[in-house]
Amino acid sequence: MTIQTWKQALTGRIASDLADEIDAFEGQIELKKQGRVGDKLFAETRLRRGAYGQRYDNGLRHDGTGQKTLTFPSGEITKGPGTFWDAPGMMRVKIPFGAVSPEQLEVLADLAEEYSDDILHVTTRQDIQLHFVHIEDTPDLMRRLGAVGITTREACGNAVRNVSACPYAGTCHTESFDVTPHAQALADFLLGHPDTQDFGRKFKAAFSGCADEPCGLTRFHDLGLVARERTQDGVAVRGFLVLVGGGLGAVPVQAKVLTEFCPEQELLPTAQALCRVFAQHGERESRARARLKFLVQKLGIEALRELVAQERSQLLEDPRWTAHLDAAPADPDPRSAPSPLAEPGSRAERSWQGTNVRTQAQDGYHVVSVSLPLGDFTAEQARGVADLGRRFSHEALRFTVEQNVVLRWVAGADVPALYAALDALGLGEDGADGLLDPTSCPGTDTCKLGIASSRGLAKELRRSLRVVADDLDPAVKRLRVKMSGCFNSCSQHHVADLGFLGVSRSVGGRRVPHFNLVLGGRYRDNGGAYGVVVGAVPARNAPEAVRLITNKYAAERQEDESLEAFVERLGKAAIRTLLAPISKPPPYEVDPSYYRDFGDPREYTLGDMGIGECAGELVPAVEFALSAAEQKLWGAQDELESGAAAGAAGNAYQAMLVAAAGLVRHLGGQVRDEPDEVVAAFRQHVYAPGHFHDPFAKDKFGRYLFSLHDSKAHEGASVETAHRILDEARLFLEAAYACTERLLEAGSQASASAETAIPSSGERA
Amino acid sequence: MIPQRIRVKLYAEDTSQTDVEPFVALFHGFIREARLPGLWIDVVDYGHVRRGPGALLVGHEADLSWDLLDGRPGLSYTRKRGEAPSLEQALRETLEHALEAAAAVEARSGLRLQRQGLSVTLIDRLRAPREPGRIEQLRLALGAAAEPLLGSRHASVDEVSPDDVATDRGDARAAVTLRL
Repeated sequence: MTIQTWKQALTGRIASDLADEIDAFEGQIELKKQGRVGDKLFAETRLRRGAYGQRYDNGLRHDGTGQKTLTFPSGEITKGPGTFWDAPGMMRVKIPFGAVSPEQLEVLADLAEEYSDDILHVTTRQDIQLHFVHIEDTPDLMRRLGAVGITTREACGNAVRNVSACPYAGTCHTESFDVTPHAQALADFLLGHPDTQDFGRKFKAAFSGCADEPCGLTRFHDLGLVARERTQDGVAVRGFLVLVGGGLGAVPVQAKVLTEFCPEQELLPTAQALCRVFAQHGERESRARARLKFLVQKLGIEALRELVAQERSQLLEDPRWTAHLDAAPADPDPRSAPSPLAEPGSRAERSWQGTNVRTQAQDGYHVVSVSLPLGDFTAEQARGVADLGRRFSHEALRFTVEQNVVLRWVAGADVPALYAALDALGLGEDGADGLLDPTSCPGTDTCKLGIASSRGLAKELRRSLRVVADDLDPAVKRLRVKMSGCFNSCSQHHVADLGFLGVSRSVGGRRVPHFNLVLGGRYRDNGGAYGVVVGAVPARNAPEAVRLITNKYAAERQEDESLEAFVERLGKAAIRTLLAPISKPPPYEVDPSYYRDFGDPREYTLGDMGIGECAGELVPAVEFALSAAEQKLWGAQDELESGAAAGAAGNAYQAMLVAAAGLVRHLGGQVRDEPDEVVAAFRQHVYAPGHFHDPFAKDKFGRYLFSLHDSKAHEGASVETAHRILDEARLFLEAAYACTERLLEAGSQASASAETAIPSSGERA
Repeated sequence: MIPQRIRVKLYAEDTSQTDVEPFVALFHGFIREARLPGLWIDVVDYGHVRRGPGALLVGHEADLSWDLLDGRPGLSYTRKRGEAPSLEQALRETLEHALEAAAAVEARSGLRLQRQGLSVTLIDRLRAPREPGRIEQLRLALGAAAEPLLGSRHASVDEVSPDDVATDRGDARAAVTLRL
C-alpha cells in the first residue's frame, strides 16, 4: 500500500491516547468546516491543542494607506469568533522545562520548514512557537510531534501550561538538588488530568533548584517550587518551598508562601489539591480576574492554605505521586571525558567563552549557551544544533526563558570545536542573556494584542549595542533587557534590569509608538522584585534611553551596585529628568520616522488622518488632562518610594479621577472635580457607551476605577495594596490614552449635545 | 504524489546584496499595490537571523522572500498550496510564479536575478522523501517543466544536492534540492 498520509506513515509510532486525541481534533476541524461546531467551542478546542490566533486573523490589516480587507479563499468560515479559517495562526509546542533530544529538535526543524516560515521561535517559557501555520496542517504537525514524544496539548487555553524549570538543573553549583525528575513528573501528571480541565484561566508552574538565582523565576508563577533540603532525624530530606498565586501580566503580583517545606512525596498531591481549589473557587465570569493570583487575593493565603489542605486530605491515593522518586536517576552519559576549559583561539572566542560558557558543578564539564537572536533560529540551524548536541553533549538540550538554547555536559577540551561549529552555523554570537541579547515577546509582528514592535526595538538595540560592545562596561553588558509589545508582560519585563512595554500616544493628531520604561526589577531571587514604569519615550528614542541610563549607571554606580539599587538610590524623579529631553517626539513634519514603528515602513496609524481643525482644538484639552494625571501618578510613585504608601495610593486614585474627568469633558459632559460626580459621569459618558472598552481587555480597566472608588482601598493602604493600586492606575491611564485615540479616530469629539450634558447634582448615573 | 511545498530560488547577480531592509519596504508595497496575483498577508523582517529567511512576504498560496537561507542572497518563491494535475504542472506553475515575482522585484529594485542555476527545493518529507527513485522522478519532471520557461540550455537538472548548506556534515533530513 502506498503511504498517502502522515497518519498512515506514523501508525503505531504515536501513543494511542494521543493519536486518538489528534484524530478527534481532525474530526472537529471537519465538523467546523461543515458548520456543525460553534465558534467558541472550536476556539477553545484548538487553543487547548496549542493552535493560537495571529495578528490580522480578523481579516483586517492597515496597509499604510488605510485599513484593508484580507479576502481569504474560504470565505466566511471561521475558526473562532472573528477569526477567519484561512488566516495563518501560531502553533505553540509545549517543551517541558525546555528539554529536547536531538531527534525531537530535528522534527521541530522539519515542521518549521514544511508548515511554518523556516523559523523556530523559543518563547520566554521554554516552549517553541511556529508562526503562519494553517489550521488544516495542525493535525499532521501534531502527529509528527507525537511520534517523537512531544505534545501540543494544553499549550494554550485555560489549562496547565508548559512546566518550566531552571535550564541548569542537575549541573548547577547552587541547587539543592536536580529538579528535572520532579518537573517531568509534574508535567506528565497534570497533563490532561481531570482536575485540571475546568479552570477559568491558565495555570503556570515553574521549578527552581535554589532560592537566590533567577533561573526558575518561581515568584511570578501560579505555582512556584523551589528545591530545599532539610535534615530530619539526621537524614537529609528533599522537598520544596511552595509559592502560589504569583503572576505578571497587567498587574504583577509576587507569589505567596503556601508552605515552607513540602516533602517531595507530597509535591504532586499538593499540586493536584491546588488545582482542585482553583477549579472550584476561581473566578468564572470575569476572565480578567480569573488567574490564581486573584483567588489568593480574594481569599487570603491562610484560607487558601486551608482549602488546599482540605482537598489534599480527601484525594484518592495515586501511585503516580511517587513513581518518579523510585526510578533510578538518569545517567547524563556525556560524550567526552571531563577536561579543563581549553584556551580560546581568538578574541571573539574569548569574549564568547566569557559570556556563553559556565562551569558545571561537575568538574571538567560546561554548559554552553547558544545565543538565538530574539529566540529565532532556522530549521537548518536547528538541525545543526541537534547534531552538535549529539557530538558534544549526548544529552537533551534545553531552551531557556532568555530565548536561547543550552548544551550541557560539554567537556572543556571540546569547547573550541563547539564554538567553531556554532560559528559556522551563524550561531557564534557572544553576550548570551545580557544587554546584547534582549528578550522580546512577538509584539506587533504576529501578536493580536501588540501595541508596539517589541521585536523591532530588540533588533534595533542589538544592532546599535553590538557596534559599541567592546566599549561597554562589563556590569552594563550583564544587564538584562526585556521588551513586551503591550502590558501583558510576555517578555517578563517587570523583572528585567531594563524593561519596556509598548504603548501608544497621540501627538498632533497622529499616533506615535512609545515604550514605557520599567526600572527597579530584580531578576535574582527567582524574580524577586518588580520594576515600575518611570516614564514613556517614543519608540525611536528607546535605544537612546538605554544609552542614557546605562552610561549614568556605568559612571556613577558604587562598587557592585546593581541597577536596581542604583535606581533606588538615584530616585525615579532623577531618572525622569534624565529622560525628559527624549520623552517627546518631534513634529511629524520634522521627522516622520517617529510616526512609524521599528522595521515597518507603514505609518504607525493613519486613523488620525483627516481630522479637522475642530479636532485639533479639542485634542490638547484632553491631552492636558492626561498629562496632569500622568504627573499625579509620577508623584504617587515617588511617594511610594519614600514609604508613604497611603499617600501614594491616594494620588494614584486622584490620577484616575483626573483622566476620567478629562474624558468626560472631551465627550461634552460637564463635571466638577468631586470624586462621586466624576465616577458617575465617567460611568455614564465614557464607560457605559463602551468608549473605554479595550478590544481585548474589554471593560477591565474601567472597573479598576469603580472598584477603588467603592472600596476606598487607597485609604490607609499597605505597601502591597498601594503597589497594586498604582499598577491599576497605570493601566487605567494607558486605557485613557487608547480611549482618546479611538475617540479621535471615530470623530467623536466633544459634541456637547443635550444628551451628553449631565446634571451637576452629583447623582449617580 | 505532489509535494505540498515547492521552493524556487533565483540568486542575485550581486552577491553583496545581503541587507534585507529595502525588501521589507518593497514587499509592503507589493501588498499595498496588489503587485502580484494571490493573497498576500504581511511582511516579516528576519534580518537578525543569520542565513535566515531575510525579508519575508507571507501569503496564502505562497511566500516570497529575499533570503540567505543557503548562504547566498536571492529571491525565493515558496508554493504552499494549490491544486495541480501533475508534478510537472505543479513545478511549472511554481517556476512561472517565481519568474513573475523576480520580474516584479527587478522592476522595483533595480537588482538583477540570475535565470540560470536556480535551485528547486521540494519541502515535503512525505511526498518527496530523499529516496533515489523519487529523486530521479523529480529530476525528470523538473526538466520537463523548466524547458518551456527557461529554454533547453538552462532546463537541464545538472545537480542533485544532498545538502548545499555550509554545515559541517551531510544532512539526510534536509529537503530535496535540485539545481537547474
